[in-house]
Amino acid sequence: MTLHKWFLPHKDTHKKAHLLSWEALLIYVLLFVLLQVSFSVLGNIAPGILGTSSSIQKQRIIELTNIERAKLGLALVSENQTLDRAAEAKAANMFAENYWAHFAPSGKSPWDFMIRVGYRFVFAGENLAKNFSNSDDVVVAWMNSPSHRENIINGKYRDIGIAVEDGVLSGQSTTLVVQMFGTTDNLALAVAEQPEITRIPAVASLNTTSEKVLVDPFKVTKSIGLSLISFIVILLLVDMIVLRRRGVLRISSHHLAHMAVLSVAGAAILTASPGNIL
Amino acid sequence: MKKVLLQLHRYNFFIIFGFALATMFAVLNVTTLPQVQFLLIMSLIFFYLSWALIYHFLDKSLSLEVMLEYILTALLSIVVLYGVLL
Repeated sequence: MTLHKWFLPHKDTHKKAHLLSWEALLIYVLLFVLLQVSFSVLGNIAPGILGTSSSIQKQRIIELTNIERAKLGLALVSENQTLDRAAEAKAANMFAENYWAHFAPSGKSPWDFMIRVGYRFVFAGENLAKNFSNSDDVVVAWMNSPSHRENIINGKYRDIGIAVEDGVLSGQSTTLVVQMFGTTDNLALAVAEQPEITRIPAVASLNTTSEKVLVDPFKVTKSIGLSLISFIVILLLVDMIVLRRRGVLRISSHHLAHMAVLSVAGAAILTASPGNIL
Repeated sequence: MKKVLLQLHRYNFFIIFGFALATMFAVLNVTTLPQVQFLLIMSLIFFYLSWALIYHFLDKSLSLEVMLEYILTALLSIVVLYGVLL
């Protein structure tokens, strides 16, 4: 069997290239499913090998949050150490109970973490993010989501607490960002306490940079998926051109329709980002 | 009904391309909402499979192998998109 039969239509029978046959398509599907299953199994048997590395800065998130508030003429939020502790407790609990949600499987709500550290609020809110590589992308994603944006630009909030924690979630190493907003039940007291609250040593806002070398399942899946789709589109195009040059009409599925669907899928994959918000 | 379908058959490429183009535009406008992107492409895939069935029926070229190629192309798109977007 010569190599060109794999990539070009048969010169006598004009049958499709082997790599475009339905059998080949079935193999691509199965191999891709196998890749996904392998990631899932690897995540369970060797937690921490898979994941993303990030350079998210706590202070940058606060700064970007305040930039968005300032744009709307809202009062800036100040970092509150108590709320920081609540956010850290929430992140630690997400890793401990292995969940990605506002409410823990054990029933703990975001408010429980605030109350437990002694933050008595009248208004409070929470934004979550994971798998982002930098602070700017996190805030952009939140601002693009109406419900998260509502928290960021809520004029009722005075305090902000942030936790940027590395850990293993569902078998994958990740960086969780917990952003908590609130206003204490005594606004006058809160304002009076602000200078003390914002006196946080610079070390508290050090970059949380993960330097682990990891296999990023998102990047691998995206690269393989995009390569596979591009490869099929190129083969379809070559097949169409070769048949046209030969002046042959073949009864088969329609290449242009396949190319249209695969191109839309390719565009979605190309613009996909690994970050998730909640 | 068949007369209408035959008339549409003349414009089959415009129909599938129009739908794909509209989906592409929508998908690129909701890049921060992967679940919405996935649903949009699922609707395109549903349309693509229906289009294939009608097109090949009217073209008298409908066969299991032909439909298998459409189904597997659709399945490949779904599997890859599920892995990347969701």
